[in-house]
This record gives sequence, C-alpha cells and structure tokens, in this order.
Amino acid sequence: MKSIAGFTGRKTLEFIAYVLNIFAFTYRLFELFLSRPVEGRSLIKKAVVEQIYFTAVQALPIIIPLALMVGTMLIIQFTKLSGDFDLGKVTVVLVVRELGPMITALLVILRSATAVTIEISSMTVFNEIEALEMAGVDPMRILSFSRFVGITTAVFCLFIIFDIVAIFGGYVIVWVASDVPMGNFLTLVAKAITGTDMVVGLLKALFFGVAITVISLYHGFRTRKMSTLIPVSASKTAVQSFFWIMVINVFVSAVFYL
Amino acid sequence: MALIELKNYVLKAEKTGAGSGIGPLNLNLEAGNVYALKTDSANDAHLFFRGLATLVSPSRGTYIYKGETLFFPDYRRLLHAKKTMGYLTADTTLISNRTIRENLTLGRAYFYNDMSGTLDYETMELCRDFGIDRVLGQRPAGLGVPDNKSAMMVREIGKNPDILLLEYPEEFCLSEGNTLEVLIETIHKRLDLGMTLVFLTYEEDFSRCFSGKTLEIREGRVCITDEIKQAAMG
Repeated sequence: MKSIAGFTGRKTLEFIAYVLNIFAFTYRLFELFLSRPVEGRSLIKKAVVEQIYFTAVQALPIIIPLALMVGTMLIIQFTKLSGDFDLGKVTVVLVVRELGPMITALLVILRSATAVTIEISSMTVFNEIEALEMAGVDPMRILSFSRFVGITTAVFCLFIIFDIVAIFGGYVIVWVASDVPMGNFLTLVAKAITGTDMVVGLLKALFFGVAITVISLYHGFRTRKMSTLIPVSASKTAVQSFFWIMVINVFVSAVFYL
Repeated sequence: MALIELKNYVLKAEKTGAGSGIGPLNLNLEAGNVYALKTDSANDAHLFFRGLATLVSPSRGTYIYKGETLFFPDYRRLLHAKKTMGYLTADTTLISNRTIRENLTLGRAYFYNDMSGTLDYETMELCRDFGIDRVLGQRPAGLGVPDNKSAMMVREIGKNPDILLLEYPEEFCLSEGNTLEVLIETIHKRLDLGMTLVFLTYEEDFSRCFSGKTLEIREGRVCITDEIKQAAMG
C-alpha cells in the first residue's frame, strides 16, 4: 500500500515539475521575444526564414493534397446529409474550428517537431551547445527563439492554407469529378462562418504552434548526454505535443462555445 | 592581478567513478602566466579544466574572474566570461550544420550582426598556418579529423582569449606538417600579449617549450609549484 502511495506521489510530483518546467521554458521564450536584444539579430532572421521554409514551404506538397482529400471526403459525406443538417455550418464546425488546426498541427509534429528535437538533442549530446556557449553566444537565443518564431508562424500559415484548400479545393474536385448535387454549398459556408470561428481557428493554430515548439525544444535541451536518448526525446516530443494540442483544443473550444 | 581566483572552491565529480572531484581549494591564476597541470587522475584534471571554463558549477565556493564573482545558477551571466576563454579538449566540437567559415565567424555574426563571413586578418593567418584555408567553405562532416581539429584550434585561438585551456594539445595536431610547432609558436605570440595558458599534456616537446608554474592535482587537492615539471601525467 505504502509503495503504491509512494509511486503515485512521485509520479504526481514529476508531473507537476514537468508542467512547471514547460511553463518556465515558455516564459523564457516570451521574455526573449519581448526583450529584443540587438545581438544576434541577423543570425536569428536567417534562422527564422530557414525554419519557415522547412516547416511551412516544404510541407506544402503534403498539406495541399491532404487538405484536398479531407475537403473532398467531407463534402461528399455532407451532401448526403444536406436535408438533415445545415451544410455550411457543419463544414465550418469541422474544417475551420476543429480539423484544420488539428491536422495542421499533427503534420507539423510529425515533420518538424521531431526534427527539431533530434537536432537540438544531437547538439546537446555532441557538445555543440557548449561550443556555442564558449563563443559567448546564448543558445536559447539563436536556437530556440528562431524556431519558436518560425514554427509558430508556419503552423499559423499552414492552417490558413489548409482551410482554404479543404473548402474551395474540395468543392471544386467534387463539382468537377462527380454529379453529387451540392446546391449553393459555398454560399452556405460563407453565411455560416462567423468572426468567432475565424478567431478560434487562428487562436488554436497560434497556441498549437507555441505548444509544439516549446515541447520540442524542451525535450531537445533536456536530453542527457547519451546518443541512445535522442530517439527517446523525439518520441516524447511527438506524443506529448499531440496530447497537449488536444488539451488546448478542448480548452479553447470550451472557452468560446460553451 | 589574478585573472582567476578560486575561493573555497569545490567541484563534485560529474559521474560516479569519474575521479574524486576537486577541492576545497583556494587558488589564484595570474594573468600572463603559464601553468602546466600534473595529475594522478585524468578525470579530475578534465573536471578542473571544465570548472575553469565555467562549464560546470562549483558545488561550493566562489569563482572570481577578472575581479568579478561569477554567478553560476544563470548560464547567461557566464557567457561574457566564456567568450574570453579558449578551451580545447577531447569534447571540443564544431557546429555541425555550419561551414568552417561560419564556425569561425560565429562570434562576429552574433555580436556585430555581420553576416558577410569575412575572416579578420589574424584568423585568416591562423587558417593558413594550420592549413585549413582551403576548406573554409566545407562543413565539418565533409572533412577529416585532422582538419576539424585544426579548425577547432583556429576558432579557440582566434578568439584572442585571455586564458587558453589546453587538454592534451598534441591530440589536435594531427595534420601533416609541423602543426605542433605552429601551435607552440602561435601560443608564444599570444603569451607575449598577456594571455594565460593552462595545459595538460603527455607531449614533453610541448611542455619543454614553456616556462611557468606547475599545478599539481593529487586526490582532488591542487597545489602550485614553481617550475614546470616534465611529463605532466603520472
């Protein structure tokens, strides 16, 4: 009995410490964001552009077909239900409010978050972080800040692209490739979408971007100096990022729609 | 004036079985002096070097660098000290996703927002002396160990450090030619400008070239004797 209580206590304390560490790390990143020191600006600008290229531009060949498939599938299913539900509203609820941010975030986790963790872990394990420090360079500033800005911006942009492609692209594909009666689908979507829907979608994308970056960087820097722990950190990043974006998703939806 | 003052300074061994730790010790390292390390434990010596380079926090005591007490809990408040230290050890590495040129100009890019990648005259001279001027555009992974080691030497010496910490410098002199002689000559030039040197070596040819004091580490205790003794290990 005592050992169960001990185990529960230890796990609870570990979880609290983990959450506090994550928040402290997030605070440090925002502090860097707001303090805007002159040192390292050129390096950071370059790294931000590179990160947006890797996370957003290089993801376009995946996110566009994915959005088209999701949009097409949903529109085909919705048209079957057009007599029972408001077609435009269902599309907005599913694509803009829920699926758009979630699928975008999932793609970024799979492609970029794990890659960032592996990169930072390798730098930690192979003493490259120490090499930066010995040059007087703040690793948090040139490694974390650029990825923080780059990934968050990329998630935000990919979400917008996903929504547009899923709704309009999906509509066009169904219209061209089938004779499914869709009536005035686009007009219904336009009427159904509200300012709150757009704000919620964008807010989720923003929070997801922050959460994914913080978790991936946190696990990268926390990796102990053993190369076998690099895949463990990457795995933790993927699982925990997914878990936390689900939590944020529920939280934001509850705040706006309950 | 002492460049480094250690007061009641204690370093715990980083891993179990990796030496006995350092201290408590009180030690002054004077600016412009040469210190050869003599030790019964390579682990303790490595720990001592890492401690001097502020890469490990003391478990107790005070580290005063150029008159300023260093605050270890916040790594950001150590960066200005690290910037003025050169440290070469087996763990030393280059940033793998940057070219040799970018590695050598990282400080300039960071502190002066100069992304031109232009090497200053002194660094370019060092690159020529150590034979890496022909590989500046390549990344470390594309080069052999000797060129990488030479690039590390150029980076650390090119910083114009106030103190140069060398752990087995002979392991960095792998390029064909007289790299060790070049290193010794380069260090002598820097010593003339007031740099402090702390080194540990198996290479008698290296220690013979310097006159100064010996830092002796025995079971975690450090003491200074006047003359550099040959054969630093053992």
